[in-house]
Amino acid sequence: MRIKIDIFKKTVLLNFAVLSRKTTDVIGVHNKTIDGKFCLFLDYDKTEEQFLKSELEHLQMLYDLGNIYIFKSSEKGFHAVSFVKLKAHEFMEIMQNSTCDWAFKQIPRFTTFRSWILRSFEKGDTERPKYLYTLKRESSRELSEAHYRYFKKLYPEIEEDKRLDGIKDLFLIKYKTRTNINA
Amino acid sequence: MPDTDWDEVWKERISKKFDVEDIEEQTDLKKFLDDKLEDTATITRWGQSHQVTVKPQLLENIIYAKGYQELQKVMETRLRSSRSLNKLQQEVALDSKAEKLVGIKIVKALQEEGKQQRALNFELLENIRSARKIDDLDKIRKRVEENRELLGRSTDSLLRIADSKQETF
Repeated sequence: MRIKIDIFKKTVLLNFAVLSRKTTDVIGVHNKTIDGKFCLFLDYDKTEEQFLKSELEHLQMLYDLGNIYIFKSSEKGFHAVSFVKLKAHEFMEIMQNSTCDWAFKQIPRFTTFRSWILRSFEKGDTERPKYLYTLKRESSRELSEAHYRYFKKLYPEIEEDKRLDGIKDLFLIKYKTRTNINA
Repeated sequence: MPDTDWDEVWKERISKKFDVEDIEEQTDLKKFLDDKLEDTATITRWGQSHQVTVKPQLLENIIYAKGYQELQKVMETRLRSSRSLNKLQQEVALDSKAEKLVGIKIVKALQEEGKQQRALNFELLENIRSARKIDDLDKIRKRVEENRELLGRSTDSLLRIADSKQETF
C-alpha cells in the first residue's frame, strides 16, 4: 500500500508492505551439474510473456542455447530452462544479459552451494510450474542428461533433446520460503 | 545463550544428490523426494558448517527456540522420541552451553535405560572434548582408570582420545 501526501511543494510517499510469516517447504532443482557446469535456469516474475519470449529468442541465438523450455510458475511468473551445459562465466553472462529477477541473480552468491534453483513442485496454494511450450533451436553444445530426464519425468510432453552428456546425477533441494505462498 | 540472529543461521537448505534413474522409477515423485530430503541438513553458524541429521521440523524448532527454556523443552521432546540417543550429539549444532545441556541429557537418558557403560563412556568423551587444560585431562584419565571394569574395551580408546586431545594444547 502506498500513501501519497502533498505538503507545500513536496510529495511524501509512504510505502507499506505486509509480509507473510507463514513458511512452506518447497522442492526444487539445482542448475549445477555434477561436473561443475550449469544449465540455463532463469526465473521471471511480473513479466509479460511476449517480452520474455523475444528476449529468450535473442539470447538463444546469441549464445547457442538450443531448446528453451518455458514454464508458467504463477500468474505473471515464468521459468525458462535449457539443458545446455554452460561454464560458470557463460551462465552468469547470459543471466546478467537477461531481465530475470534481481533476487534470482543475486541470492546464490550468498549460499555455500553456489547454484541456482527453480521450483519443481507446489508452493503453498500455488501449483507446480506448468509447461507452456518450447522455443526450438539446434545447439552444438552438450546437454545435461540428468536435468533433461528429470524434467521429462515431470513433464513428459516436453520436446526430445539430443547430445546428452551421459551423466545421471543431479542435485535437488528442499527449502523453506515465505514469499508469495498464496500468490 | 549468546544473542544470535536465528534467521541468519538458517542460511543453508537441504540438498541431496539423486540418480535420475531412481527418479524415473517413482510413481509418486513428490512424496519420494519429500521423504529423501527430510533427513539431512547443513546449518551454518559463525562461519562454520555443521552437518546435522535431523528432521527439518526439529531443526527449525531448535533454531527458532526463543531463549534457553524453550530450547530445553525442544530437546526434552527430542530425547523422549529419539531412538538412537548416541546420535543426538551429531544432531545438534548449537553453542557450547546448549551442547553441554544435550550431553547431560543424553547421559541421564542412557542411565535411565540402564545403559551405564554407554552413559559413562559418553560422559567421559564429552569431558575430554570440553577439557581446556592438562589438569582436566588428568582428572578424566583417573576416572577412566577407576572405571576400567565398567568401561571394558572403551578404556584404552578413551585414554588414546585424551592423549590426542592433549596434543592440541
